[in-house]
Amino acid sequence: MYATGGRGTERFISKEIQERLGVKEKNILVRDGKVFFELPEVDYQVNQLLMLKCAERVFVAIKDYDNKSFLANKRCFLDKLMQELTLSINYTFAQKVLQQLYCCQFCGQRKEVEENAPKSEIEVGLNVIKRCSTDGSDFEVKLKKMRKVSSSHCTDLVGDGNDCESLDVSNDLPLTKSSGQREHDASSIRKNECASNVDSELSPTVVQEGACVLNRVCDDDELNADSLRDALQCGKCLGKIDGDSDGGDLTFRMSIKCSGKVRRWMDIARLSRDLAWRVSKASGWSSRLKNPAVEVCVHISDDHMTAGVPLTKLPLSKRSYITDPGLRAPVAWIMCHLAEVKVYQAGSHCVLDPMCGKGTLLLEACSEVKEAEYFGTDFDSTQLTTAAINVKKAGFVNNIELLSANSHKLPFRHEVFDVVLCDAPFDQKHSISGDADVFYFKFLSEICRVLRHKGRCVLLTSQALKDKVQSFMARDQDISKEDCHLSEFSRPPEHDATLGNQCVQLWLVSEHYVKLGETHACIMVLNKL
Amino acid sequence: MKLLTHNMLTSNIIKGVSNGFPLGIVANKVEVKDVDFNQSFVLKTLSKVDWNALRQAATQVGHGDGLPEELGEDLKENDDVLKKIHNAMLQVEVVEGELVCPETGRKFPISNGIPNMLLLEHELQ
Repeated sequence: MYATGGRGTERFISKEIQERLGVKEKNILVRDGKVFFELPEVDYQVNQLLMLKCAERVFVAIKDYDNKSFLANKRCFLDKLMQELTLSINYTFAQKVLQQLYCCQFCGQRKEVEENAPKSEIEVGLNVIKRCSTDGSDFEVKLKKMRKVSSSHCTDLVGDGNDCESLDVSNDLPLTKSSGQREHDASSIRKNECASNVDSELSPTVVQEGACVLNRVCDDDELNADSLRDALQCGKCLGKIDGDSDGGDLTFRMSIKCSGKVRRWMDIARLSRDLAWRVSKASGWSSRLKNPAVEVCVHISDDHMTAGVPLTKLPLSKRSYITDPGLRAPVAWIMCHLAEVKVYQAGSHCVLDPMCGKGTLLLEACSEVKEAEYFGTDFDSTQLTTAAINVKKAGFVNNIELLSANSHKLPFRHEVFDVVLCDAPFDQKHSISGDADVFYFKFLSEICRVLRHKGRCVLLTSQALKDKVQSFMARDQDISKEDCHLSEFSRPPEHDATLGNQCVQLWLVSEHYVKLGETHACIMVLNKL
Repeated sequence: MKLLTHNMLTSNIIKGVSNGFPLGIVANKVEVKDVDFNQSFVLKTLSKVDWNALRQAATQVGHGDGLPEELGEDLKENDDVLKKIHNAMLQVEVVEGELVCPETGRKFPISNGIPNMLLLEHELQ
């Protein structure tokens, strides 16, 4: 498995994988923008995988190898690439994980159905089928899901995995199913009492529900052995079809990304075509350009070739609770993580974002720790309006308060916040009016004023402005005299005052480089003395 | 705007204002939200709050009934009072209205639950 993320975030991804998935550090390999790891019990961990917050995307690897020795000539490089992607063994694990993933998604939906289900399941089944006949959509998707679900489910029941899902890859598989096979599929489903009119055009979701019900029939102890046997038979049957077509129910599209010098001599469109049929042959998946179930991503750099299948269509970093992100969600999450809002979970925690913009940081923080009060201020009322919409959509209205205010003149009393989170202007997209020195000094002074004693500030700034911020920090000797400074507070200077020797009573705990697109940025963790 | 937020606000950002706390409230529209009660959260938050200002604000918006004049030591055991405080501090929400600076009378509008604390150039220190 591997996860991708922005440069600089790999360390956090690795840490999160260790914490969330219990993977040992020695089983993790970190490389430019990618984090490789082995998942000991992938079957149980698929859902946790999808909960990773630092990663942009998570992939199941097909192949990864060192590219350097093959780059000398194009022929050599292509031979190696084709050879590796033609080996069907490379796809076994991916197939397993994807299957597990669909199964989990199905289980989630089944729960939903169970919650809303009327008493008699047969009735539900029939209702679903009735709806099926009126709903029109993609037939193949439905069959695919239905079969997958049934086969893997029944597999569980008999406790015999390989019967139902043969991964053997020897014969010529049809890229798309013949209508005869479709009929076959449909009729095998029809065997089950729940399914009758499935040969019409069906919507995938509806049919999934149908499949859910079907599987519940197998599940339920009260239902007699007949229906169970039926379901098993059905599952086997479907399994057989799976076997016939070598798991050809999965559709894919190639997505090739080249970086470095390879890009110059590679015809990506052609490579994509050449690879597609090989992948198809080796994996048993069928190539489809429009709306495929998965993507086979190949990343070729000067150092490595990495091929894998992303577990989700949308990146993990696309959060359900953030509609309009102003900042990359993983970076926001890392900042919140560094702010350690969690540590104070038991008590109240007041968190301020003095330049909240669209509220991304607060939403991300709030999604992690609900037992806190979040405050966002911004001087731009249009940004705040967007933030208000975002907060409402995310359902966090009770936790997040928004105010219009100037970050140089925060209308708050002294020392009321425990944590300040801020995505400060880099003087690029969001320009700083006036002198950046004065701006940052005033702004940091205000943050310091509203922070409580030993409070924490996590600041995102550009790599270029980092030194500036640091120059305002309390010097080492000030920290050693910590106690003498507690009562003192350095007021922000007047407009034209020289900043000379003044400093704010914050000290740098740690700094973390991150790359945001083309921008070099830095997350600074500051504590108040 | 919650009354907890009000409790943290000051108008001493205005030129010449020294304390600016507590701000007066003129409430035109008040809503009471449903927020889960969490005893330890309320107690911890209370330790930061200026109680008199909170009670006064709650009274101004018409939700001050049953709030004690002073917070006693036995607060922890008194869930009824804590729930009332929880209501005043976290559930009562001023949606439309004004905040008023106690020293200059400068008004800060609250619209759609968002107070506008921005100042004009000449009001800045």
